[in-house]
Formats: sequence, structure tokens, C-alpha cells
Amino acid sequence: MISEQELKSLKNKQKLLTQAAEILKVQEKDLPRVVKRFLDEIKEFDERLKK
Amino acid sequence: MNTEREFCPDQPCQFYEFLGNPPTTKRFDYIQSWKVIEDFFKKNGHASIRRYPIVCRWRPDLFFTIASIVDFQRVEKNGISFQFPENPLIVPQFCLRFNDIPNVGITGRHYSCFCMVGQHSLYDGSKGYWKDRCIELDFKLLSGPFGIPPEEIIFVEDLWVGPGAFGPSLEYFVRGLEIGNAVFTQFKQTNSEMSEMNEKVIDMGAGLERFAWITQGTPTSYDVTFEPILRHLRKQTGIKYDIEFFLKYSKLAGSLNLDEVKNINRMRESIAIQLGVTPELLNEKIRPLEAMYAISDHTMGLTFAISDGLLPSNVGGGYNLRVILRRALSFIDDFRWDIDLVDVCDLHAKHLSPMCPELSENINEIQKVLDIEKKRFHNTKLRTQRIVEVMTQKGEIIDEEKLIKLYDSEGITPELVKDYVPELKIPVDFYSKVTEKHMSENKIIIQEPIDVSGLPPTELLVYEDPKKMEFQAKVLKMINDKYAVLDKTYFYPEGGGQKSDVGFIDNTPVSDVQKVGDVVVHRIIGSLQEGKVVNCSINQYRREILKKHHTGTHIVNVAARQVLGNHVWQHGAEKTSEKARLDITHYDNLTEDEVEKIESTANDIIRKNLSVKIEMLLRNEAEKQYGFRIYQGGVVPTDKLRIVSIGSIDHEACGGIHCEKTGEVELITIFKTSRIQDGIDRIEFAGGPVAINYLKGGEKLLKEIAQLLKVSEEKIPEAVNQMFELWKEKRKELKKLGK
Repeated sequence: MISEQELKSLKNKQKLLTQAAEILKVQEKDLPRVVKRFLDEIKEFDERLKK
Repeated sequence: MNTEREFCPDQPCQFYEFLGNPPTTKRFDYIQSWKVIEDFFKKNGHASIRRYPIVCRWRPDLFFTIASIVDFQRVEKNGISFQFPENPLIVPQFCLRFNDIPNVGITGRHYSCFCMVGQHSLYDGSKGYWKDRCIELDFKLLSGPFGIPPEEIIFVEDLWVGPGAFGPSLEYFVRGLEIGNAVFTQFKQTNSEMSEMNEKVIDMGAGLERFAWITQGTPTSYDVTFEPILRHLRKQTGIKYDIEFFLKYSKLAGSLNLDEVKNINRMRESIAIQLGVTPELLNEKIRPLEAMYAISDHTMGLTFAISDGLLPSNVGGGYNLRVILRRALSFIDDFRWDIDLVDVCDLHAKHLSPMCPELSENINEIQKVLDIEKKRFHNTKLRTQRIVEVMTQKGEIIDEEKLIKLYDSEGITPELVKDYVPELKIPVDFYSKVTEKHMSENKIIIQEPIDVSGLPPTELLVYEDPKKMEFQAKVLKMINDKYAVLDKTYFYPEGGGQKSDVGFIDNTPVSDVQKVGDVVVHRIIGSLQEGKVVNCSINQYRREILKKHHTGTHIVNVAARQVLGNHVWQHGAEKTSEKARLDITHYDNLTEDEVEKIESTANDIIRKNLSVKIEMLLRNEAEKQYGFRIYQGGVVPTDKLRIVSIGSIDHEACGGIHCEKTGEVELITIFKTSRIQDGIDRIEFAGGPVAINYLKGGEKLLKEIAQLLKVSEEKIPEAVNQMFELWKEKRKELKKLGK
């Protein structure tokens, strides 16, 4: 059985994940992929702006 | 037998001669009347039992308890059976009916919520009693403790015919008032023949309101039934009660049954002439009182129903609760009164506390529900003006059909429409029309798509040994080349919201198991030979998860009840190997804080490692021991119930497979909640390894994102937000530059 402390920590992490997914309005499982896409696009925007 | 009597003793043949002239010197109020009746029957060998809930959860065809005999009726495979916890017995059964709504407040005797004194006996020649004793007792009750002169009590014989049964009945009257009706269910009728029943049933129902009324002779029965409530309402509204005038009016208005009177206004005009006043003055005096009577009645119904766990909504029985609530609010608005319905419900609870102490315990929940409903009604009022304006601009005529549509789709009462369309004529039977279709649920007939005729019942052994995962059995039949029927099985067939087991029969995959009547069919992917003895194996991992999800569902249900209140009932549930869902009755969207509390309460129950006990009990015994909360999953049509108890905190009739201890569920995590319909919230969660995988999966995702954003996990939401804002900013800049 999972300890109360471990459960609290996992739930806390889950909450952070849910909050982050809500900002981008995506499903939690898709979040790393979407974050990566945004970061790549920001880089690309920077390059285009430099030009 | 009175051979000289020339007319019947009922309205309209005989006026209410007891008004202002009761036939007895004894005066009893509402509660005293019950005490007198209870004492009398107890002295005469009856058990006095507590009322059953007004919300009828033990009959699949009824939302509300509509008569005392309903308490003891159970729907079984072969029809309705009677189950008496004691014999003979009496019960003060509070009932709700909606067919008389237009008459409530007007006739002086009609109610939507009332107390039926039930006197019941099951007679088979040795136990209980039959007709003569019943008549003797009822006669003695009226002439003895109630002190009504014997010559004033008139019995009228009639015939009662119900679904599948019939028998004689005796109505009894005093000075024009029907006090009770004893039905003697003696014969049963099938399509072709009738026969005498082995166990005959006495179903005597009498209105408690009428017992009290006959001793006081007040203008209406409401004056006695709602005495402290009306006192409060008169104080709040400043309405003076001209009792002498109202007494004269009531003697004439007893015949104002809206089912029978075609034009109430014309009838009122005729009464006004007889009273020597103008119709306008009569209306001015009468209408506020009628409204107060209706408010008293409707709030009593709401007090009982909400206390018994049903909430106003736009579906099922909740629809009719909202109708009486909005009707009461409309009266208050109409007269611009300063009346708080919660205060009125509180007064009912206090007034009835000697008979129903549980009402006061639930007053806080009643308050919460009514406050939310009042806000909803207020919002509806705000919408009404705009909707009615659009309709009139389009030239639409607001007729009865439109009024019903407006109520059904928008919750707009005709009284609200009248505020903007003063010439609108509200049909007198409007509320009985809208409630009629919500009086009962149509029974769902389950079609059996798989033909199992001629097959013997399958020996279903999963309950005897739920740990057995491998066994041998004989293939009795293959149906449509895809359903295998075995002589015995340990596979759990889908039921009670729990998905079926899967596994193998002789290396042939089993993808689903269903019960068709008494026969269990195994959906297989492949083929099997009829008559062959086969080796069967069940997928143990999936079974374990389903067990955890099923016990977890009971746990979440208790937790929700503990956090949100006693009004919470299971509305539906499903347990799959991926997740579990529980739909509960609740009056509002679940807040984040409430969800957290439910989850943490559920995990506390798991940590306490309470035992999960399973016992088979006779239905009567189960109801007596654990109450009607056992029917969380609906009514079970058998005389023996399988009761699953979690410690002493939860008891449910349930056919599912469960853990032996709550600790086996390991963990519950709620991952989603939603409002699926008015009055119903859905909680989606997982237990055991599914919950752990879900949380661990989240932990892994969070780690990945932290690495991408190069921040600590705690900063992720903030960093994602900053990233998103930066992205929007740069994109805007690019657009500006035309790139």
C-alpha cells in the first residue's frame, strides 16, 4: 500500500501537471510534446525576427 | 344496515356538516390524533412501525410512496409480492401525489403531501385478521378514543379492482367526510381465471389530516394539519383570518373540486352571491389563504423528499419536486410576501418531530438545496422577460401547449409569464398536466438477443469460490457460433455496473460474459465442440482490478455522502479495468475542495482497512437491519438480497465481486468530475495499480516537462504560462512585421 506522504507528493505533482495542461488547453499526456513544439516555435520566431 | 338512508354520505350528496359543528367533544391536533390512533391499535395487538421514505426506492415503477401499502410491495419476477415486517401493523406513512395539485389549497381537503394511516394485515386463516375484525377495530377507534357517536359512522361497501387482484372495500364516513377506505384484497385474476388468494391482504388507508379535522370542525383540514405553519405565515404576511366568514365559505366550497367543476370562476360567483359579497371581495379574502395553504402543503412535501434524499431537478421525480417548489415561490412572488421557505420547512420539521425526528436532522441540507433552487428560479425570472418579448414580437399566441413547453424547456412557470402577459389565462390543471408524465418511470424491458430456450440454468459458482481462476466444465451448447454455454462457470458475468471477466476456454479467448435469464453465455473468439469437457482460465489481473474498482465505488459513494451530505445517492456506476465512474445525486457542481475531501475521505477508509462483509439476507430482514440505503444500485427483484457491508459505514445490496478488506483497494485517485445532468455529478476515478500507474505516469510527464523548460517541477505551471505568453508576443511581432 502506498504511504500517505508518497500519495500526497504524487497528488501534488498531478495537480501541477493538470494546471499546466489547462493553460495550453491540451490533454496531460500530450503536454511534453506540445511544450516542445512551443519552444521550437519560439526559437524559430526569434530567428525570423533577427532576419 | 340503515335501510332508511336515501342518499350517499359523501360530497356532493352530503355537505360537510362537521364544519363548525364537530361530532365529538374531544379535540385532537394533528400529532395527538396519530398518538390516539397508535395507542388504540397497539392495545389491539398491532405493531406500530416507523414511516418508510417518501422517495420510493424499492419499487422500480414509482418515484414516490403514494400509499401506505406501497411500503410492503416488492416487484419480483412473477409480479408484486407483499412483505410485512410485522403482522398486523399500523404505519403513519407520508405520501406524495401530484395529480391533485390544482385542488391543493382550494378544496380544504386535497393535498400533494399527506399522511396515510395504514392499517395492514396479512391473513391466511391462522395469522393476522380479516374483514370482520378490521371493521370492528375501525368502528371502535372512531366511537371509542375519538368519541364519535356510533350512529354517525357510515360504512359503504364497494368493489376494488387493482392490477391482477381485486376484492371488496369499505369506505367509512362521518358527517359527509370520508375518513378511510379499507380494501380487502381477496382474489387474484389472471387472463383467463380468478382464484382466492392463500394470503389475503387488508389495506386500510385513512388520512391522518381527516381524523384531526373531524374533531375540530375547522373551515379546512389545512387549519389543523398546518396549524403552527399557518400561524407563522399569517404573521409574516399580515393576512387576517376571518374564521366566521371562511367557515361559511368552506361549507359551500367543499364541492369546488377542479376535476369536476368546469368553471371555477362561475362557481365562485355563485358562492359570492350566497355569501352576500361581490366576487372581487370574495377573491380578495380567499386567494391569499389558498396560496398559504398550498405553500404549507408544498413545503411539507419538499421537507420530506429532500430529507429522504431526492433533489429538485428537471428529470424523473426531481422534476415534480421542482414543480411544487416553483409553484410555492410563484405564490410568494405573486403576493409580494416576505416568506423564507427554509423557515417554513424548519417549522414543519419541528411540528412533525414527535412522529419524524429525522426531519430536523436534515434541515441544513434542505436549506442548502432551497437556497440554490431559489437562485435558479431568480435567474429564470430574469430570462422570462426576454423570452416572452421575443415570442410576442413574433406574434406567437401563448396557449397551454406553449406554456407547458416553456416550463419543460426553460423552467418558466405560467405565473411568471403572466407578469408580462396580464391577459394570459392559466389553465387550472396546468401543474397536474406537467407532473403527470413524471409520476412514474416506464419499466425498461430488456430484450434478450441470445436465444437460450431449452437450456438448463448455468451453475454460477463465482460467488461460492471467487478465488477460483481455473476450472473444468462441459460445453452444453454453442449459440450462433460465438456464444458458449457451459454446465457451470466461475466467470463473472457483467452485472451491477461491473464488467465481465475475460480469459480462455481451451485456449480460445473469452472476450465477454453475459447472463441471459438463468443462463450464462461466454462470448468466444474461435470455436468449441458441444459436449466436450474444456479447461477454463480467468484473467486474474483484470478480476483483481475490477474488484478494487467495485469496492472503491462503494467507498467513494460513502465518502461523497460524508463530505456532501445525506442527500447523496448513487445514480449510476460503471467499473471497468481502466477506470471506475460513479454518478451521484447532488444539487451543485462539485468544487475542487469538495473533490479533494471526497478523495481524502475515501483514502482514509482504505487506510482503516475495514472488513468487507458479504451476507445473504431475506429482503425484509435486510431492509429492517440496514434501511433503504441498501438500494443504491436500484431495486433487486429477488426475495433474498446479497448485502455488501463496509465495516459499519456502508451496506448495499450488490451482486459484484469485492475485496475482503478496504486496504486491498490500495489507493483511490479521482481524475475527473463533471455535471452530467441537472442534479447529477459524475466522479471518474481509479484504484489500485491503475491509480498508481496514473499518478506515476503523471510524475514522469512532469519530469520531462521540467527538463524541457529547465525549471523545477513546482515552477512548471508558471513557466508554461510564461512560455505561452512569450510565444503569443513573438507571433504578434512577426505578424506586425508582415513576416
